[in-house]
Amino acid sequence: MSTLESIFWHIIGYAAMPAIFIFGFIAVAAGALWILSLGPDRDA
Amino acid sequence: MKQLIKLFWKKLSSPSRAAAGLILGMGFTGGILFWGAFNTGMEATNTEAFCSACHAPIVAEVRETIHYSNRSGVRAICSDCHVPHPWTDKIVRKVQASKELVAYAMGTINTTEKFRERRGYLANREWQRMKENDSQECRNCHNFDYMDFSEQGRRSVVQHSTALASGEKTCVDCHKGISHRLPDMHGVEGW
Amino acid sequence: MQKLIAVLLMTGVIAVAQGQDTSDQADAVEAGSTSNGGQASLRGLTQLDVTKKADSFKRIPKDRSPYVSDYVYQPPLIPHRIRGYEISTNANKCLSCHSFRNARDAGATKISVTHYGTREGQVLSDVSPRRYFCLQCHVTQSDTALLIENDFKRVDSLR
Repeated sequence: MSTLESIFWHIIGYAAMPAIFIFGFIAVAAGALWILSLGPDRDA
Repeated sequence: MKQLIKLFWKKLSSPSRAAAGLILGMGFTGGILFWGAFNTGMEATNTEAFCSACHAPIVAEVRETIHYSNRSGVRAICSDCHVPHPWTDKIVRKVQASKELVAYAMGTINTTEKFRERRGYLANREWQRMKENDSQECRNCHNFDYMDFSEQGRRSVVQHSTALASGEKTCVDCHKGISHRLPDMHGVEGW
Repeated sequence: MQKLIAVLLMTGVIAVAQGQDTSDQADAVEAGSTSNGGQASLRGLTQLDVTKKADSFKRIPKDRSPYVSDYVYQPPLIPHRIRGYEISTNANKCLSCHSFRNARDAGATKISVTHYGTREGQVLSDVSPRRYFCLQCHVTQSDTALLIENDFKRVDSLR
């Protein structure tokens, strides 16, 4: 693996870490909002 | 799609009728569940069964070696050697594994002949990686500082106490072929 | 009197008949016999149709000092374990320590020059293919009793 390729994968790999956190937050938030919409935040 | 995002954002930025504790609890629990599911899924890609799905012949080669079956039963599977242990390095390697999906789609080594030709290149890539990280995956289990030279054979004592101790050589320099059969070793240093 | 003769005849016939049976049995022993005939072998005194319990695996010493040769031109015995050492067209693990090039760094005995010649005596620049597969001649020794007790002695020049 050339240095350039190694640098490429490291950049993409490190960028993936906050991406995972952000995606995780969105997923959990969406799930929590949906659960809340069934209970306390019911629009009725 | 855009409407969905707008609706999502609106809901996120408006107050809820629920108690603060409930919302915080849901977030906390949701975070734990997500993190557990994510890492469980990732560890599933570290199992022998998962690697075997594409790399079956290589996994079969390990079955003849000491890392598969030995006196003490302490063994190593694919990920113990080929996937870094620290989480950040592991994620980098997992992202890099998307390259293997491309190779799978393109059929780079989908016949025995193609694999044989490419084997030297693949082996060298792994040896180079291990040389660069000072055989870190070996050292995850085989800690040099706790090697008991009185228990080792004569040749091992000589080599470990000189070349390995001084840092001149790393594990993989001598222990090529410890886990898989060797590619064409013509031109490889030390062979 | 006649009754007596008849009885004697009957017993005689029965005796002869029984005698026939035993001679049949004797034939059976010679033809398809599974007896070891009292001869001990490496299997011990077990009968031919009995499966002896397998011996335990022998251990090979991990790594010891080189063996002294027992006779001139003996392929030296291997004094260390060779589990997993690959000899194939791709790689010869033995040569990775015992070749001329690697022997000094590895601290190993060099292979002898006899390994570089063809059958006709022509000298090659690398190991001859007829000597490439080390284990055809060189063997390890296991840590066990002699198979057959003997009092073999080396010649004076090797003792």
